[in-house]
Parts: sequence; C-alpha cells; structure tokens
Amino acid sequence: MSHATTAPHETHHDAHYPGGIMRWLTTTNHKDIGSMYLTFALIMFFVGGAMILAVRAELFQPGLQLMQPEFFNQLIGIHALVMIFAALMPAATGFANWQIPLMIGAPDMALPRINNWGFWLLPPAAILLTLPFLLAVFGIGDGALNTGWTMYAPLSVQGGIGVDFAIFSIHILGISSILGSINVIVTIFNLRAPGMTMMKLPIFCWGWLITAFLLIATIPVLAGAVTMLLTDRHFGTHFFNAAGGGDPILFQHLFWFFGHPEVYILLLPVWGLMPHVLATFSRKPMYGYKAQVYSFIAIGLLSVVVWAHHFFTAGLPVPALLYFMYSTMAISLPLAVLFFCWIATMWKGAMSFETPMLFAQGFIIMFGVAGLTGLVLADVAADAQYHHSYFVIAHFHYALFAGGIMGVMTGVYYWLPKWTGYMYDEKLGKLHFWLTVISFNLTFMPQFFLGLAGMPRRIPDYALQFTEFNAISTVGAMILGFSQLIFAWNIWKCARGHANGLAPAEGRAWEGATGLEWELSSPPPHHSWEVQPDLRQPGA
Amino acid sequence: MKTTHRFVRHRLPLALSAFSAALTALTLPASALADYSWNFPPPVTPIARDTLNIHNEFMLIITGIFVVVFAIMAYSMFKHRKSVGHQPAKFTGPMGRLQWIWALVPFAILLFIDFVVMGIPAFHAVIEMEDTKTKADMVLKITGMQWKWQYEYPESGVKFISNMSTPRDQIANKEAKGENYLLEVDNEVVLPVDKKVRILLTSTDVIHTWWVPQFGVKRDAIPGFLRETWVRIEEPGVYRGQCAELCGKDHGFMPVVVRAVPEPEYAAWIEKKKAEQEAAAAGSDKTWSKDELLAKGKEVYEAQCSACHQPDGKGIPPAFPALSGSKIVLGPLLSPEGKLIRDSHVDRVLNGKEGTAMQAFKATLNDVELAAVITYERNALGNSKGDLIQPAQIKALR
Amino acid sequence: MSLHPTPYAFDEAELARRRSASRRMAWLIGLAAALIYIGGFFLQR
Ligand code: HEM
Ligand SMILES: [Cu+2]
Ligand SMILES: [Cu+2]
Repeated sequence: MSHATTAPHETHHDAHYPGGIMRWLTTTNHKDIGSMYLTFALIMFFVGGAMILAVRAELFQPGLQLMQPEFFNQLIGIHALVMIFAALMPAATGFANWQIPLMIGAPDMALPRINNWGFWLLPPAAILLTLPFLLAVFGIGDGALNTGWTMYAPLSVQGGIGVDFAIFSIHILGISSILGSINVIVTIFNLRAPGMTMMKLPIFCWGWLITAFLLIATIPVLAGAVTMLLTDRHFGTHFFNAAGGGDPILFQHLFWFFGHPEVYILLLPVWGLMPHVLATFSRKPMYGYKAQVYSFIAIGLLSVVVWAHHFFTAGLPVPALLYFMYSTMAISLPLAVLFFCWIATMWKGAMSFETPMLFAQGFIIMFGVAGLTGLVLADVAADAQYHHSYFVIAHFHYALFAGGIMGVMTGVYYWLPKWTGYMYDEKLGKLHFWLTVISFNLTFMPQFFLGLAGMPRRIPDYALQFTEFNAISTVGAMILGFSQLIFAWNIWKCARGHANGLAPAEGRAWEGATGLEWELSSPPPHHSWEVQPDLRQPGA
Repeated sequence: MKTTHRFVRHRLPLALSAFSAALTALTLPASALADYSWNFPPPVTPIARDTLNIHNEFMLIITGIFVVVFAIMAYSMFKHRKSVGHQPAKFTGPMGRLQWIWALVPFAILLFIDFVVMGIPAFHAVIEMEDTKTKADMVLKITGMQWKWQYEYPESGVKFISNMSTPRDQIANKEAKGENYLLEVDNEVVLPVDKKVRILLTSTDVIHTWWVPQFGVKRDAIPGFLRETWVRIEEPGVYRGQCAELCGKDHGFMPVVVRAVPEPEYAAWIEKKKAEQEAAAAGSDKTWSKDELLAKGKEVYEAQCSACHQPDGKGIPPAFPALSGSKIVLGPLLSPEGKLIRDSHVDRVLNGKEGTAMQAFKATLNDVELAAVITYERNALGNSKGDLIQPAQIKALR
Repeated sequence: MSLHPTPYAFDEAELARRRSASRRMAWLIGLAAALIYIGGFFLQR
C-alpha cells in the first residue's frame, strides 16, 4: 500500500480557459462543475439555515413574537425544499462530479455539456423558489409556498402564487437532477478504466449509481404530481378534488412514491463515501464490499415499495397498513448490514481521529438513532402517536442532518486536500465537529420528548407544557447554525491555502488512503486522467 | 497530533455516555420523572394503553441495540487506534466459520426482533385499532374546517362548532397566558365514559387531523371522504389535543377538547343541547330587530370570520380580502323577487368560494346566525349599508 | 491498490466511441423518464 507509481503529471494544464465569469458559465470540466455545485450547496445551506433559525427563534417562547402564522408556514416549507433540493442534493452531485472521474480513471464525465446545463438550471430554480418572498414585500402575491414541503392537496390547491412558483422550481430542479443522474450512469457504464469491473467499482460510485437510478425512476413521478396540481389549480381538472371524482390521497401516494426513495437518494452517496473514509483512517481495507453493494441494491429496490408509511393516519385499508408496516421494517435488515460493515471496517484497524474520521464516527452513531427510531415509526399503532409530531421532526433530522449533512461534511474534509492541494486547518475542523455534534443533539434530542408529549409539527405557537424543551432546542439550533460559519471559513481558508500559509497536500493526502484518486496529484491535472490507468494486471 | 488524541480520548466517552443517558431517558416510565413530558401522557383508552406499552417495549429494545452496538464500536475506538500502536489487520470479510457466525447472528436477531418481537404485537394493535364497528355504542361525526371542528351526534341530531377560545391578546403577548393556553375551546365535545364511540371524520375544505394524545388516536379528516376510528374512554376527565395536519394559517389554533362524563350526565347534556338547538330553530321564524341582529352578528363574526377577515374587517389581502368597503358586501342583498344573486354578499357567505379558504357557511351556521352575521357585516366594520336580512329570508333560500 | 498506468489503455478513438455510446444511452434513459412522467397522468384510483 505504500509504493505507487506517480501519476502522469499535468501537461497542458490551464490550457484554454476563457477568463472571468465566462469560464464558469461555459465550463465543461468536471472539477469546475463539481466546485460550482458544492459552492452553491454551501450557500443554500446557509439560506435554508437562516430560515429555520428564524423559525426556532419564534418558537423560543410561547406566543407570537417575531412573525405571523402565514409567514411561519412559508419558512418551514421553503427551509425543507432548500435544504433537500438546493443543499443536500447539489452537494452530493458536486461529489459525483469531482470524484467519479477521478475514481474510475476517466478524463472527465461522459457528457460534459449536459453536465454544465445540469448545474446552471439550479440557480434559476432556487430563485424561483424564494422569489415570492421578495414579491410579497412589493405587494405582489402573498408570499412563498405555504403548505410545507409536502404540498398536500387540497391545501396547495388553495394556496397563492407561491405554490405556482414552487411547482415550476420543482420541475427545473427535477430536470437538473435527471441530467445529473444520466451523466453519472453513462459515465460509470462507459468510462471505467480497463480492468475495472463493476465489482471493482469504488463503493462511492456504487452508492451514486443506485441514487441515479432512483432519481430517474421517481423524479418524473413527483413532476407528474405537481403538474397535476398545477392543472387542478388553473385548468379545472380534478385529480385531487373529490367533488370532481378525484382523490386528495392520490397526491400523497404520488408524492411519497417519490418522497421515500428521496431519503435514500440523499443518503446513498453518503453511505458510499463512508467506507472509504473509515478504511483510510483505520488503515485497513474496507469490510464486506460485496455485502454493501448488494445492500445498496436491496435498499434501492425496497425504497420504492414502502411509500405509504408516511400517511398511516390517512385511513388506509388494514391489509395495506400491514404490508407497508412489514416492508418498512424489512429495510432495517440491509441497513444493519451497512452498520455491521462500517464497524467491522474499523475493527482491529489502526485508527486515528482526523476531522473526516470524527465526522464519520459521529455520523454512524447519530444515524443509528435515526435508523432505530425509524424502526419504531414503522409500527402503525405507535405511529398514530408519533406521526406529524415533533418526534418525526427529530427522527428525520437525525437522518438528514446527522446522516446527510454530516456525511457530506465527512466527504468535504476528506477530499478537500485533494481538491485544493492544501491541508485544511485541522484545529478548526475539530472545533467545528464538536460544536456541531453537541449542538445538534441539544437541538433535536428535546424534540423527541416534545413529540412524545404531544406537540404537533408545523405550529407557530404552542401550549405551555412544551416551553422548556422548545427553549433548549432553540438555544441548540442557534449554536448549531452559527457553528457552520467555521465550516465555511475553513473551506475558504483551504481553497486559498497558499495565501493562508497552509501545508500543501501530497497526492496521497492521507496515510491510509487507497484508490485511483489518490494516485493523482493534489489538485489533479486539468484533464483528470489523460492517460488511462490500467487495472487489468493484478497489482504488484 | 498528541493533543488531539488526548482530546478525543477524554471527550468521546463523555459524549457517548451523555448520549446513551439521553436515550435511556426515552424509555423511563412516566412516574419516575416527576412530570410526564418525557413520555406519552397517561393513556385513558385501551388503544392508548396498548400504544404506550408497545412504545415502551420498542424503546427498550432499540436502546438495547444502540448500547450494545456502540459499546462494541467504542471498544474498538479505544483499543484499535494508531496512537496505542495497534497494528491494522487485513481482513475484508468473514473468514472461517466463527466469523460467519459473528456476522450472521446479529442479522438473525434483528430479523427476529423485527418480525416477531415487534411484528406480532404490532399486528394485534393494528387489528384492534382499525376495528371501529364491532359493538360500537354510538357514533360521533367530526368535520374539520378551517380552523375549527364541527361535532355531530347523528342519533340525537345535536350538532355544533367548537372554536378555540384563547383570546388573541394572549397569543400576541399582551395579556398573561392562561393555564390551557391554545388548548381551550368555546364548546367542548362531551362523550360518555366506558362506551365504544365510533368516530367518523370528514372535512369541508382541506385535510385536517384529529388528535388527542391521551386517546392514542390520530386520524385524518379528508374532504369528500369518510374516515373512521374509535375511542372507549375509561376515566372521566377533560382531554386536550389539536389538529395535526397543516391546514393553513390557523393550523396551530385548532384545538380539540373532549369532556368525558358518566353516562347519565352525558344523557342530560344531550337533552340540554337538543333544547338549545330547538329554541334556535324557532328563532328563524320570528322577526328580528336590527339591534338584535347586530348583537348576535358581532358574536358570530368574531367566532367564525375574524380569523381571516380580521376583527376590524380589513382582512389580509390578497389571500383574505377586506370586508370594510368591499364591493361584494356593499352590493345588493337579494333580487327583487327575494332570490339569491350570483356572487353577491349572501351567495358568498352561504356558498363560499371554491378553491379558497372561504367556505360554504350554510352547512355549519343556522338561519339566525347567517342573517345576523350578514347584517352585521353590512352595518359594521366601517360599512353602513343600512339594510338587513331576516332569518326567514335565509330559510327560504335553503 | 497498486497500478501501472500503461499509456493509452484506450486511445482517442476508443474514447470517442465510448462517448457516443454514452449519448445513445443518455437518450434512452431520458426517454424512460419521460414515459414515467406521461404515464402518471393515466393513473386512476
Ligand atoms: C441548522 C439546522 C437545522 C435546524 C435547526 C432545523 C430545524 C427544523 C425545524 C424546527 C423544523 C420544523 C418546523 C415545523 O414543522 O414547525 C424543520 C423542518 C424540516 N427540516 Fe429542518 N432543520 C435543520 C436542517 C435541515 C436539513 C439539513 C434538512 C434536510 C436536508 C432539513 C429538512 C427539514 C424538513 C424536510 C422539514 C419539514 C418541513 C415541513 O414541515 O414541511 N432540515 N427543521
Ligand atoms: Cu419514508
Ligand atoms: Cu391543521
């Protein structure tokens, strides 16, 4: 593991960039596009975060202090859409862009121009989503989408222009995701280095491959559902209106047929990168590669057949309740395989605890809370109490923040030296980690108890018995939110590593790192693998 | 690097134990922690009791899994670290029979927990929960509407609306908050104890969810469809809950308050309600004075209309239009023949406007209330149209 | 992992061939997505 031939060195680096903004508008280079995705994601993470900090501030005490319910309802839904579609998904796509060509020995993504379009659809979509806030300030319309991110009909049929803006935004975001997914699939199928069979494919790429297939299968369903919503709103159709022979619950079926796989769409790229990080910092090969790949596939398949567990209280027939309960429980099995493999990868290794490793381990523990509480949520009877309460809010933030966002942070710290050519500031990284885990638990652990005590989600004001836990949660959220500035600062510092006197990173930035991407220089040359690596001969 | 390791060695166990402590707290029985905000509130129906038991059992199981799995991980994090000179192993999968057992046993245990330990009680609970019809003693029909609940007792014909009664000034922090802040209503729904009550749910506008935590019942009210659930309340008392499905602006202000009383008391209450309702119905035939209508109208307006159109009638445009100076309100009342004019003030109030939060109030208000509130809107809130409409005229329009 | 990059294990022509295979595959996947979208409107319940 110690000696490796140095990678072919940059020959015509920086060969033909147009200058200034045109470089970014027209770039087809997977690394530039990856960086743009990641930057966009980081910005939107702060946008979505700011919205929810306003919400948490309102919820600090009972009574309405800062905002009226109308505005509150807009903030929660846009927070969620921004976090999911504009922060977490683009971050994962940024990883795909940067890493997949490096990891499979390709010069670039297979369809570079599509890649550029995929990214540039995002900013207009984000603007569409949030523009109604601004329009309302000028007296046009009554603000942004106010239905929560789930947009359930008929509430969304009733809503104002914010709903229409959100519908268009979702269409654009969806096209962007599909373009990105197509690119990932064809790149992995067609541009692997000679000798890299599918069962030698780095597991990160496997995770993304399943994500891409899930996106292709489910985004059109979401797009269809919101198109129907649009026609119900403006063109007199009655897909979701009982008076016209439609059914409001049809919307929930369609939404969650997309919505449940979406959770795995967000998490599979993270599950893909975890084993690389754990193996690196345990200085030991990853455990159970095949088992993990098969688990990914199993989870992908199961994810599209469990959707109705999101509306157990809607009054489904008993056989449907039982089916969706047991199929949901079944997901715990492949998930357990992943946990087993993660821990077994560390077992008997020689661990060290740099920031990416801390985030990875924090991820495992807290994602464990998400998975275990998810298992009890599958129980139809108990779910009658948990559903639409703060218990669920806590559960899915353990999944999406501790699982999704902290997973992305793991990846960012892990690959930052590769991308920038400098080692980030380790002290700041650790500070960021500890502030994040502690304040995260301070924010969301009390929400489990709030849910059990009976506090519904999506309410701007609450009964007095919920006061203390809400106050704690708000304090936690403020620390959590502001701690993320350290993250941004650390990235910025690293990106300008030379000016900040940081140590340059070697090609193999981490002692225990293995895989093709570490054979290249840090940062990698302009056309990542100009000479294809050849894996056909078994290693020395 | 040295400092780092010390840092990790000291903080990590701390964090870990704080963590499992918190998780354990999830499972402690209510009584152990003084007040019950750590767990479900005390159950008062068989379903709620089952649910609490299932919940406690599951929490114990998952805490067990959590502690075992992460104890193993923590052990590894202490022992298998580079700083103590541990040499990394090379294995990439189970080798030999023993390791296969190690890998497969946890999997089998989980399979057992999922589908036997958790799966079987869950099965029975679902069947019980969904059995709304067997031996039902009575029916209660609940209709959700923005942002109040209507309760109807089909056997006796009693029907009324239940609104939140917390004063707006308490919400705006201009007044001290009462004990049942946000969880109090003008008309409580009364149910007899120890009777199986079959509950039918529907809605007139968007989806609402009826939830009383102490009953262990949460069920959606869906416009155009009927859904059902049931309760058998075992102890007299007042039980509070609220709407659990985002249903627009005042979703947070849509409480449910149920008063459970012994059977005789319940029967007396139903009789009283019936008498009240009959008196109100008689009111439609008498001629009301303008002042009577205005006084009654103010009452109705404040309970039914002011959430959207605001107490001063200025509304919150564009979603909730102003009534003060409104063209519709100041338009003609009825056609010369006493017929309804399309899109007039009376039409709006009676039939609502599709696709908006403005509902058809003829479904929920009686003739007197409708006549009173229409008269009030035309002659108050900055309007002074001068005319009035009699309950009898409304009755003729039905 | 250890590897020995041999120059041009697949060359320009091979790369071009793979890129056009990618484009064909992309159209197919796009078509599949469009079909799912359109199919949705015929859902009855
Ligand atoms: C600083 C970090 C975050 C904090 C403090 C936070 C807090 C909250 C709170 C308090 C709510 C509930 C609002 C309500 O229903 O009344 C909420 C809703 C939600 N959040 Fe977050 N959140 C954070 C990050 C994230 C992230 C990273 C994601 C996903 C990637 C996310 C996804 C959601 C979703 C899906 C909802 C549900 C919104 C709805 O009800 O429609 N959140 N968040
Ligand atoms: Cu789900
Ligand atoms: Cu509601």
